[in-house]
Amino acid sequence: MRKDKQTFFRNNILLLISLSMLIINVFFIFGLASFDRIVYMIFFYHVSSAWLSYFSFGISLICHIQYLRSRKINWNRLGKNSIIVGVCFTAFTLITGSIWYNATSGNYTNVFWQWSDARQTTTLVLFLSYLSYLIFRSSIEDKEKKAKLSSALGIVLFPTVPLSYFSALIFTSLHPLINPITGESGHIYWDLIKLLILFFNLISMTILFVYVVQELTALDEAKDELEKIIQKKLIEE
Amino acid sequence: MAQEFLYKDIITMSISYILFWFVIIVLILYPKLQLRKINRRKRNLEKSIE
Repeated sequence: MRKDKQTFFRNNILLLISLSMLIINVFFIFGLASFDRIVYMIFFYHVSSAWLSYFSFGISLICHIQYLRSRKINWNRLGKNSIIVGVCFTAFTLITGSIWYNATSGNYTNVFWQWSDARQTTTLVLFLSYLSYLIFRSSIEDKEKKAKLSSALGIVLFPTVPLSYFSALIFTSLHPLINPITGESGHIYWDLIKLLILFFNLISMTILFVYVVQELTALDEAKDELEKIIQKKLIEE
Repeated sequence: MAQEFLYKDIITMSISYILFWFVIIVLILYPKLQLRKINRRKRNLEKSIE
């Protein structure tokens, strides 16, 4: 029983750390950060998710390059699993971005989307690109072919990440920028406390990312083992 | 301005907050549940082979 508990803690240590950090951060967000409007607090989650999605797509790029260099299937799996996490958080970023847009720019006039807004549109392109990666990957049967082609696609799709990030700076966008200098129009003033809370959130979500990718990789390995057993059974029959 | 939209702001914030935890819970539970399912299948198959 005690050994079970020890194994549970050892296996889930990253999950426990990240969840406790996220829960502690809720108190920080609602207790320490003061904004003109409560809806501005979305930004802690919105920015953290956007960071995590960019980070996971960056990791997937490295993994895919590594796969093409070494042909070790684990790199391809890591890349794919990073993309799964990235796609989930990009979807969340898009939804909270639209909600935010309706709450602030639209003043609740049910305007959730502006195609002319570069950040919104390029982030949608980013989301659809990586979603298509996952669909494409699942449509190939042969394992080696799947890994090779998906790695190439993972690399080709990466430019959508900087495109999404820099779109707010280069093109027309209503997206506010994080700015520690007060009084500049079109920017949200972030003092040191808010930046620290945001940084804390980023760390906790990055730890969660490592945990989820680890779990998804373990799942892939279990699927492989299951396949081997099925093949063994088929041969015996 | 802040008072005018207070009620809607609270609802919007709550939706985002719930959605955030929903995404996290799905990401945590999906591999765990799938792994459990696969392990059960593996055990059954191994038993049938024996």
